[in-house]
Amino acid sequence: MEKTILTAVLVIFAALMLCLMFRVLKGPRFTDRIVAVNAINTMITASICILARLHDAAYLLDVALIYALLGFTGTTLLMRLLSADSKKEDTKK
Amino acid sequence: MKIFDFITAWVDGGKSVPLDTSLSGVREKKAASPRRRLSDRESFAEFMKLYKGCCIVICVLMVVVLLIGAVTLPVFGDPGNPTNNEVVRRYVGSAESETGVENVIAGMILNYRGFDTFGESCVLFLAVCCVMLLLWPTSDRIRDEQAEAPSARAGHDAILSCVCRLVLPCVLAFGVCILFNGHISPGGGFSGGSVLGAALILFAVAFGAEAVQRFFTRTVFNIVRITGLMIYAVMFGVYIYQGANGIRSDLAHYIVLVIDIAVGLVVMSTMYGFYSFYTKGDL
Amino acid sequence: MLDIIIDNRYPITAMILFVIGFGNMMLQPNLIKKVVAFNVMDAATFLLLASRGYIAGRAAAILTDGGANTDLYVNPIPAGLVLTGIVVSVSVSAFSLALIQRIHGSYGTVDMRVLLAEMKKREE
Repeated sequence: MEKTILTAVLVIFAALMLCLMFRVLKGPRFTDRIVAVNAINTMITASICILARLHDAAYLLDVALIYALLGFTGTTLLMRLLSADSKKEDTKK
Repeated sequence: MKIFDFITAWVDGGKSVPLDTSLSGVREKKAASPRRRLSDRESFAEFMKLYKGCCIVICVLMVVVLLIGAVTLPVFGDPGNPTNNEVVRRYVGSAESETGVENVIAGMILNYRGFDTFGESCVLFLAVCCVMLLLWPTSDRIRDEQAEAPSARAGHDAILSCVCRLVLPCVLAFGVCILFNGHISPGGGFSGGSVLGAALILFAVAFGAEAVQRFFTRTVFNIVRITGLMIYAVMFGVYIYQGANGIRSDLAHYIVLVIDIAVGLVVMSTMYGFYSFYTKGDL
Repeated sequence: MLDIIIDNRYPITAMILFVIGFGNMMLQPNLIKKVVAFNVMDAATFLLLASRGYIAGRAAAILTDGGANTDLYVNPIPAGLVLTGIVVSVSVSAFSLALIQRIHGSYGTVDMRVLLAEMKKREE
């Protein structure tokens, strides 16, 4: 019973991630893509935790922690680049 | 043909090239002219169309061939696979007694196949040397292009520095835990070093590169990398000198821990070094 | 047919990803997107290699009983191959990105068509 529910949740997460991929591909601005990638990272972290429960593997929780950290670092660096670009345009003007 | 235009626009990256549009490969009606020698630009356009057509054909063929091969692969998860031969039984069966560790993969990459990992550490060292060669600011290269690199001269972001002040000690502790636990649980030098490197990068992003310079100067960087590689080289040199027939198993436990720490420190400095070279040019 | 695909889902996914990465690496004009596609190809290769070691119903290769019964553990050897591959992939990506940064510094662009035109112009 629990296994069925968790598998269904994983399938729902996969479908939602596909919807977010649409926004990643289409998003007319740079920031749309950053937000979508951040949401995908959050969903992947949750999926790894669910997989850890499904396969009874405690080490996958470590993997989820590391993935969350790296996703956060990546988003921060992208936003830093974006704000620096806009600052450079302001100073150039 | 809307679909063809869509595919072409996607392949071309959706950007409009400021130059001649005949480079983009969109099918345009050429004016009916007598056959003359194609100019440089037009021959390049023809070549690009042929190139794209050939690439798509090659990719489709590759997919078909690979999928046919995938169906003939041995059954996934079968204990009778050809990959599960006597080598696996020897490695798993004798790992604890010969290598002294409980993580079979750590014992395998640091003892049974230790020279392979030595080669990997050399590859990492060489990659940092090559990136340093390319991006180190020399006097004859204009420094403006790197002085303008905005991400290095970061302002003080309140949210980021608050969050990092809380989160970074935990991340560093986690990285050290993965590093030291490499021989009894999943982890080891490479993953622990990556987490420590990511923590250093986050520190540099939140508090500025000058804050990292206080403890991670160029000297420390060089010392860490060279020491890591030298520990490896010396240990495996001694190993070959002794006949390459197995490290003494009572020492093997400690040797694996020392090598793990060396590899972790090398990977940490490599990760932070790459970030620093790309944003600032120097360390 | 469908049960073959579901049984072999890891190698099939790996191969489709590989061809996606390969096609993008050949066709994208932007140099950084080429490097990203190269990383996708590498990820596909690691998926294929690492999935060769799985044995159904067994635990990960951390010994709990000193290796007395080798039938309880998954095959750890392909995981070692993947470790080497990951390091090599990171090193090659880092080097290519450094080259791209130098190209951008000299020519001001990372689009290959603009780059080729600029190079031709500078030759003349």
